[in-house]
Amino acid sequence: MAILRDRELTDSAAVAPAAAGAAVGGAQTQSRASRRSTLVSGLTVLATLLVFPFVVPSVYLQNVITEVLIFGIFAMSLDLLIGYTGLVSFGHAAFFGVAAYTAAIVATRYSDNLLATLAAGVVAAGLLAVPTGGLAIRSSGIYFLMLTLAFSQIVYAAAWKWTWLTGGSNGLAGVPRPKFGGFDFSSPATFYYLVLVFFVATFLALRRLVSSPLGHSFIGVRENESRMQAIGYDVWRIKLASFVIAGLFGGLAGALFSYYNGFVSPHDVYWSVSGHVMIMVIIGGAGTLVGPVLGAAFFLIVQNVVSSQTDRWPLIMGLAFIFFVLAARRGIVGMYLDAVAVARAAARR
Amino acid sequence: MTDLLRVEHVERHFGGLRALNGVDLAVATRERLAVIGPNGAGKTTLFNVIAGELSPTSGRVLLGGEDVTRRRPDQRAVRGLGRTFQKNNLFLGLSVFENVRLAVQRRHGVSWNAFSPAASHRTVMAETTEQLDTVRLRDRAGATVRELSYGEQRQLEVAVALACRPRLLLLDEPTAGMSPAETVGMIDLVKGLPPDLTLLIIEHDMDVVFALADRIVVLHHGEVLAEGRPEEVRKNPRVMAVYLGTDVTASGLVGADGVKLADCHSLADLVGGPPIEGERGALGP
Ligand SMILES: Nc1ncnc2c1ncn2[C@@H]1O[C@H](COP(=O)(O)OP(=O)(O)OP(=O)(O)O)[C@@H](O)[C@H]1O
Ligand SMILES: [Mg+2]
Repeated sequence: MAILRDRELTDSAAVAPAAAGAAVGGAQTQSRASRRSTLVSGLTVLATLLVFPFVVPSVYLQNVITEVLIFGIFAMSLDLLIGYTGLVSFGHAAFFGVAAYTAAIVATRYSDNLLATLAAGVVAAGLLAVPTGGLAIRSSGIYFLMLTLAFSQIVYAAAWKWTWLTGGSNGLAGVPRPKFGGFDFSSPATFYYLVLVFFVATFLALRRLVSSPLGHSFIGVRENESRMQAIGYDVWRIKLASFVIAGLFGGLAGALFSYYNGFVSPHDVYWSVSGHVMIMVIIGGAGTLVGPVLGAAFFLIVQNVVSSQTDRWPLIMGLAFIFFVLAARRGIVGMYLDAVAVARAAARR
Repeated sequence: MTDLLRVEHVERHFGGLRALNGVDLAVATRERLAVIGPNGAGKTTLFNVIAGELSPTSGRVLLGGEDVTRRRPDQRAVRGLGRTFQKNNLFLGLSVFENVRLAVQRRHGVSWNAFSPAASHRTVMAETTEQLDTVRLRDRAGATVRELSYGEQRQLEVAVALACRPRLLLLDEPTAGMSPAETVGMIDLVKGLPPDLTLLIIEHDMDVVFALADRIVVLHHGEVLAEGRPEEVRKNPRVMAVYLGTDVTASGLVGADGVKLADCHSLADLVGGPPIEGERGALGP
């Protein structure tokens, strides 16, 4: 999985030396080589994902991978906050859930057009992110975490109470797969491809974002807010931008999830969903884009495998989480990079 | 001509402590002003009030004639105020290059661009390299801040502030902890700054003060004890009393005002007094 080298481009600590190399000279050829190997490994992964439904006819597995891609989008969006901007949000399910409900309401009542449902879900998530983010980022640390949790629990309560809109505890059933032009994405394989398109688009957009001047501003805020202010950055606006962008992509994941599941319930806005996606980010490796996707894959695959054997899967996931927090703080990506470093050192000797 | 910076009757209290107790200060464009005073005199607090990190308990701060007392630090930075910190305040996990680049990209107004790689902004990249050249950190561009020596971090601290191309630059003890060679390099750097830059420098090293300042302000207990041209301040009896008070020599280590002997060593040069007995033996390198 050489795509993990992608960290060299996405991880903040490494971005700048690469950039400096380009400006200072000397490291130019090396950075071009690493860029080429990133491209090659990225295309390899993409090709694998493209042929996957043909090679693996199992509907069950196609669904699992579809879910991994959806939660990969969700986890990447949260990592923009946690890993890049240093804002530990514990309420990211709010945006996922609001978009899921909105897309489901539009799809069941008005139109199952892909663009209409998706746009409605994403816009709803963005509209929620502006005021909640605007308030939450006035505080920081544990207070920020508690405020985001509180906002998401308000959304959860609304999902319970506004029965006329949300179906209350029954949720909204019968959400159809979206249609676009002649396509209806109703088979597992076609829906998989639809999700894959959004996944790849999200990955590329966020990758561009984190290497852009704005992305570097996010990283600057994470590293040192006070110095960012001293050199003229409006830290509040930068945090809000990060919060809203994260909310929009979280909403995209939520809308896709409502089609995927065909059913939306208050459970999808519950705080445990925020907890799960945070675990995905941390297990995979915060501050990278590949990490959260691997974290989502790890989480969902373990969940699927273990829960078919025993109902103790939360215990097992909890132990895995403790392991990563205590022994592998940089997550799966960090473990991989450490292993590569060890192997390189051994090869040199 | 209006003053670039005016500080009017500024007080700043911390609980019962009056860290600034009615400070008035006017700094003309192009002036190079040194702020000196014993430890705890309120020098850094004054910088924090000027830069907006602390709001004054009372009084006003005017920048280029505009009342900026209620403005945030970033708003003052955008208006041309740059500063360094007494305690290094850098982007620790980022490279030297990135530390400076963040300041340069803000000044070029591209910080909100989310669609093109930062490395594709040629002018920003070129100016960053240029800035690193001026502080002789170009070779270290790829190193993270953590990998730098303390002296190099001090240089980077100045580079980040300079990268904002400020009209008014506040340097808080830029040479503190530097080797003699690094100190000379810093003096040369500051001397070589564009003449239209207005400078306030807090410094304990009197060689640096005399090399750089047109005017000196002495703070003591949050008040301006004396101000004037270096020769005038040097002869001022009140300044001499503060720096060479009998208590200092008597107690050997700490004076009545809590003035540490370590500072008196350099400040003794200011008032031209004899070296304090036993000083080098007690605290010298
Ligand atoms: N944030 C704060 N809270 C409480 N007291 C403070 C704070 N900042 C400074 N002080 C106190 O205010 C007084 C002035 O401190 P300041 O840092 O301005 O001194 P200084 O002149 O810069 O000294 P030094 O030469 O040691 O840097 C000191 O007594 C200090 O303990
Ligand atoms: Mg100080």
